[in-house]
Amino acid sequence: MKMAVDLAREGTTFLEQVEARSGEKVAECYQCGKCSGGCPFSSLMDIAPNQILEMIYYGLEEPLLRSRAIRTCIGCGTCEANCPAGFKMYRVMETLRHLAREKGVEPKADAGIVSFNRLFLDNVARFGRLQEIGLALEYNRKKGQLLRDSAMGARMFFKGMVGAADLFPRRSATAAPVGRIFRKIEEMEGRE
Amino acid sequence: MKVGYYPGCSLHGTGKAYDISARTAMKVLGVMPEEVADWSCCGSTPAECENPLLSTALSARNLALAEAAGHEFLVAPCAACFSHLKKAGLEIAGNEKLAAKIRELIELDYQGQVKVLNLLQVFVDLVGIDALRKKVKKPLTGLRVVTYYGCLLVRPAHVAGFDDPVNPVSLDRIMEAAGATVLPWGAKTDCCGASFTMTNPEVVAEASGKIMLQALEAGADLVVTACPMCWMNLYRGHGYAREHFGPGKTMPTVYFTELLALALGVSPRALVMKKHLVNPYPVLRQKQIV
Ligand code: SF4
Ligand code: SF4
Repeated sequence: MKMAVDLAREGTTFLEQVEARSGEKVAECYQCGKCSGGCPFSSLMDIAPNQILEMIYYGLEEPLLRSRAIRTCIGCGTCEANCPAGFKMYRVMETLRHLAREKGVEPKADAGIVSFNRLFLDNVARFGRLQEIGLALEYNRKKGQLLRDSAMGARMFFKGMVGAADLFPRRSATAAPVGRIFRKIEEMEGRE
Repeated sequence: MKVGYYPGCSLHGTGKAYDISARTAMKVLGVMPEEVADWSCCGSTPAECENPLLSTALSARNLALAEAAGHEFLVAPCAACFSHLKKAGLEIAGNEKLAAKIRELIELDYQGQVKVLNLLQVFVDLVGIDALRKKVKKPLTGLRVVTYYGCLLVRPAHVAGFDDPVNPVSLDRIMEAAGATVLPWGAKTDCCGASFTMTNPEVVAEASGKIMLQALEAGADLVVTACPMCWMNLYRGHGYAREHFGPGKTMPTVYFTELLALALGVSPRALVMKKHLVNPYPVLRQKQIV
């Protein structure tokens, strides 16, 4: 595995690297599993939170960086509240996402989460403020499920929570400076 | 007093009822919300998941704008906006290298002077429960509510930095001061399914459906929430609860600011409670609140 070689050259193991960046002592987890039991999204994850810690311990870097699990954690902190050691699982998840990004590791097929995130950010980059309805329509169109949520959408429309104007995205005055943030980050990352 | 106000994208869209009632309730209590001019999206969970620097920059832009407008406090009614704005501030504080990078990205100065507050803090800390109670004109007598906080208002604890991460009480105190009966229940801080509402609606429906079931078991008339995303997701939960537990097994979800505004004597016509997906009027009428 190429990445493991790179890490060895840096003189740190995967475990040490994750511990240093997340500030969490992965090796001290009791493996009691309470984090996974409490996590509202473990059913969506391909690897349960406590197993992630175990895999870090054993240096299984590549499957972790490719996993859907690390992109499914929303940082709700339920795991920390449940953990007898007060372990901040979301910090570890965040660290793994950062490592995946830095190493250019793409996720394996996900349940729409990554593609949704990117559509969301495209929308923000274009309009400055998220156009909720536009995003919903675009996501469903891309997924070929035009009618999904149509009942809820219609109810919101008839109740007046959503108006005709919401169907037409507006560019706010904020669009230009926000667009520049996106562009400059791309440049910065190209430089590094 | 004046405070900076960051409505966020939802409150300009599907969360209008929250926006209107939040501004109204604050004004009645002498807190004047001033919307931050040119505010932009905080990036929410997608930015956080995709690119940490982007996430910090998108949020920090709004902090810098509020600071430039001279605000000491920036109020973010949406739980997710609150969490992301506050996290960005914490990350930049004490990290000069990151601060410089952020200033370059957002093209604005930022000194870390503005304090991010959620809406519960406005009523509990800025107004104060006793002052609030004194302004109640039409107490919500007989109305039985359960208070729903969800995750991001109180967790991660080091970001939220307020109330208890598992058993918070600030919303309970606000509702009690408004005259409602706050019932004990176990789903106060359970997660509603958050940003998976588009990608995995079945997961959201199940998570929120279980929350609705607990509200029913507690014997509540209404669920009271403090977040536009939770409000939307709990609606998915209504459908799930009906399907799994039979017809009639549901109840309206309203924003706490709507009930608070009613208790403060605001006319229901000034709010937009009719727009709720599950109409709260029948139960409010039955309790002679509207
Ligand atoms: S923070 Fe992440 S891992 Fe922890 S409970 Fe929430 S979603 Fe699960
Ligand atoms: S709850 Fe804490 S100690 Fe238990 S497995 Fe999860 S992280 Fe480890």
